[in-house]
Amino acid sequence: MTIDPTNLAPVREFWARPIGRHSAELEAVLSILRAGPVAGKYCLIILEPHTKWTIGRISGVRGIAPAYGDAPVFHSIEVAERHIFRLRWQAATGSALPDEEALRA
Amino acid sequence: MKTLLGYADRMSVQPGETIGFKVSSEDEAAYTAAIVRLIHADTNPAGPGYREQELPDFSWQLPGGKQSVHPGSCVIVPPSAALKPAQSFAIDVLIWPTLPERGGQVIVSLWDPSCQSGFQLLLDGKAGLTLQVGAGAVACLGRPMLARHWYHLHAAFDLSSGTAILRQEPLRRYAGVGDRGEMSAALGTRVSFSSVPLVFAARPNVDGGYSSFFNGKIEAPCLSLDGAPAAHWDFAIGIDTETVHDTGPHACHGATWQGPSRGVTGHAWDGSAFHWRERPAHYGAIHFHADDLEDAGWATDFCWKVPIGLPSGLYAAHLRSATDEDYIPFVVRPARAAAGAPLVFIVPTASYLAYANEHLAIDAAIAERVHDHVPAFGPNDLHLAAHRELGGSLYDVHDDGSGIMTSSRHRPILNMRPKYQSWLGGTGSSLWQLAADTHIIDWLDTQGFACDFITDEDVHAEGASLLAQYRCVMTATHAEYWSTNMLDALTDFRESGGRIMHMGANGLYWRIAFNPSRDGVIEVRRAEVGNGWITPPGEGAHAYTGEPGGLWRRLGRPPQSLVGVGFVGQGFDISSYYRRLPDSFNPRAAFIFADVTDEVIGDFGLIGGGAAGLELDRSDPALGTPPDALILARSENHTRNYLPTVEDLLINYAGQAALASVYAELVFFETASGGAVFSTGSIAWAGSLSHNGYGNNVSRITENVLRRFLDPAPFDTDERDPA
Repeated sequence: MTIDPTNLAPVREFWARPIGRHSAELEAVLSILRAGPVAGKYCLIILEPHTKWTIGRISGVRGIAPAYGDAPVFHSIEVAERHIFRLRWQAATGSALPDEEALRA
Repeated sequence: MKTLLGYADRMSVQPGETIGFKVSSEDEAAYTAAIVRLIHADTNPAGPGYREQELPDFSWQLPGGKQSVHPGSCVIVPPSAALKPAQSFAIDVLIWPTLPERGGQVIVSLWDPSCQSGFQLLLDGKAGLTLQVGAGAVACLGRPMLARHWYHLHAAFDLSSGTAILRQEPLRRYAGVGDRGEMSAALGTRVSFSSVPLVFAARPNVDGGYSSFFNGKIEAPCLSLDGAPAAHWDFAIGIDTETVHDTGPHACHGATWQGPSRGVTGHAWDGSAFHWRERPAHYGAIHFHADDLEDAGWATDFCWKVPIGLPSGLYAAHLRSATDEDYIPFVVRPARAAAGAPLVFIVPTASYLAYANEHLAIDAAIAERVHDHVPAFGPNDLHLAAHRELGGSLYDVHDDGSGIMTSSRHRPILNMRPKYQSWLGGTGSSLWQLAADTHIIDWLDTQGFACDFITDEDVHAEGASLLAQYRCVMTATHAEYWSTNMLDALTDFRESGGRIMHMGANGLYWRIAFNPSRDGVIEVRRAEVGNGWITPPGEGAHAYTGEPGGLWRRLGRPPQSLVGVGFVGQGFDISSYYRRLPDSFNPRAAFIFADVTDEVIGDFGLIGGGAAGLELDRSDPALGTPPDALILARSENHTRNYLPTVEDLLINYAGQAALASVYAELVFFETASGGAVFSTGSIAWAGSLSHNGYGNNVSRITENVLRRFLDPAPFDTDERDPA
C-alpha cells in the first residue's frame, strides 16, 4: 500500500481529531506512517505533566534513551501529534503538507 | 533527570513491624525522607488533583550515597579442595548460546581475580571457544557457533606439559557451516589454583561480585581432575530450588545467583514430555542471562517502625534532594489481631511486579500502532531506557531475545510510583496500575468508607483465612496476575457468602507462581498465548512450583466463572460509555440504580474521557458466567482501536475487528451462599468516580453497590427460573 499525496481527506480528518475515532481510510494512512523500525521512531517527551511536551526519537539501541532537545515545545498533545504526522507525511510521500489553515478547512 | 532511586525490603507491613528503605542518591547528594499516605496519585488538572498526607514526626535527613545494580545470573559452587587440579583437568559441557558473537562470556571459571590464577572457559567473540589458564595463557578455537543450537564442548589442560585441548562439536550439523573444531596448544606450566568458588556462566570480581556473564543454556557440566571424575552437576535436580546438585563423588553442590531460568528444555528434549517433572532428563539445562536481576542487594538507608494504631492504607517513603524526588510505595495492612473494616481492598502487587520497569514502547515498534497515538515518556521512562540494569517487566525480553519470566520487587521500580504517567494508560490522566488504583483509594477516602488494605503477597501467603474476616473484597483497576493460592482464597471467600466488587478489567487472567525461596519474586510462563513474548515449546511449567502456566481461562478456571466477566479486548486511545440494558430494571438490581435515572453511564472520566476503556471484560456463559447473572449495562461506540484478544481468534478474516464483540459489561449476580458479585468490566471505570465533584452516575452506582455489599443481610438465594 502507498499513500496518495494528493488525497488530503484523511489528513483533514486527522487534523480535526488526531486521537480517537478514525475512518478506515485514515487508519490505512496511519498504518503506513507509523510503520518502520523502532530505531528513529518519533515519541513524545513529557517536559511537564499535562502541559508541556516535545518530540524525541527512540534510539533502537538497548541502554540508550530517546534523544530530544531540537524539536519545538508543545502545549497540547494534539498539536504535537499533528507535527509528527507532518514530518512523517513528508518523509513518506516526498511532498510537504499545506499549512495549518488549509488542513483545518 | 532521575537522581533518587529506591526500594523497600517489603511491600506490606503492619503496625508494630519495621520496614527498611534502600536508596541510591545517584549524585551522592543529601536527601530528606518522610512518610506520606497516598490518596490520589493523579496530577491531571482535569481531576481533583494530586493528594497525599505527610505523617508528622517521621522524617529523616540522610547523607545520600550511590548504590549500583549489578545484574547477571550464574551458579556458584563454594570453594572445595576436591575441585582443585593437581596434574590436569578436563571439562565437558553442553551449551546453547543465545548471543554467541558477544565477547567475554564465561561458561565456567575457577578463577582468582586477585592474582589472575586458575582457569576460565569462555566464548570470546571472533576468538570463539577460549580457554584461559592463568594470567596470560590463552587457547582460542576460533570457530563460530550458531545461536540457539546445542554444542558439546571439551576443554582440557595438563599442568605438567602445559598443553591445552579444545573441542567444539555441534549436536546438529548443517552443510556448509564450519562450526566444528578441535585444537591443542602449548600454554606453559606456570599455573596455580587458589581456593575460590567454581562459577558457571560468570567469573568472580575482585570486589566480590561477578562479571562476564554467559547468555544461553548450560547443561550437564562434568569436571575431571587428574584423569578421574571429580564432579557432575545435574541441573535437572532441584529445579524448584536455588540449589544446584553435584552427583559426583564429592557432592560439591552450588547455588544459583540472580535467578537464572530453570525448568527449561535441554539438549535431549524431543517433544515427548512437556513438564520437567515428567521427564527431568529432558530439562537438564539452566538458561542464564547477563541481565537477570533478582535482588539489587542494596544496603538499607533508614528504617521505620510503623506506629501502633496507624490506619491501614497505601503509603510511601517520600524522598527529596536538591535535584529530584522519589516515592517508595508500600502498604500498611491492619494489625493481625485488630478488628478491621468490613471492606478490604487488595493492592495488586503481583500485577505491579508484572509490569515493573516495562520497556514495551521503547523496544517494540508496534507499540504506537497498538495505541493509535504516539507514546509519551517522562523522566522515569527515560531513566529506565538508559539503565537496563534495573531489569525489565514480564512483558519485556532479555538482551538475547528470550522472554523475561521473573520479576522481583528487590530493585527500584520506576513505574510503580505516584504521579507516574504511563504510555499504557491511554489518553487523559494516562495512568496504569498503582497510580490508577488511587482513583479508587481517593474515592473511598472522600466518600468516607473505612477500608483495610492488603497486598497480593498477603493473600497468597495467608489465603482464605485472611479474606474471611471481611464482608466485601474490592479488587483494583487491573488485577491481572494471580497465583493459585490467591485465586483459591477469592473463590473460597465468594463461596462462603462474601461479596466481591471487581472494580477493573482483565483481572484473574494469568497464573503466576511466587518464588518459594525468596519473598517478592514472581514467575510467569506464557504458555500457548503470548504477550510481549511466548513461552518456548516444552517450557510451560513454572520452575517455582511445577504448576502449568498460562491463562487461567486455559487452565480451567476462567475469570467469568468467579466474577462473571472476563477479558475480551482492548484499545488505548479513548474510552467510551455504557448504556443500560433491560436487566438494570430488574428488581434485583434496584439497589444498584437507586437515584440513577440516566440511560447512559460514564460518558466522562479522567481515563480517556469515559468509564469504559483500556481493557474490557464482558460476560460469557460458555466460560462460566452464572445463568442468573444480570447484565446491567454494556459499553458501545468504541473506536476501531478496540480489538479482540488473541485467545478468542481461531482464524483471521477481513473485517474481523468490526464484527468482534469487544465491549465492557456491568454485571451483577448473587451467589448460592448469600453473597454477591459486582463487576465493572473496564479498567477505566475508576477514572470516572471523581467527575463533577464525585456527583455522577459511576460514583452513585459504585456507592449503591458498596453500601449494600457492606450490609450483612444476606442476598436472596431463592431459586428462580434461569434467565
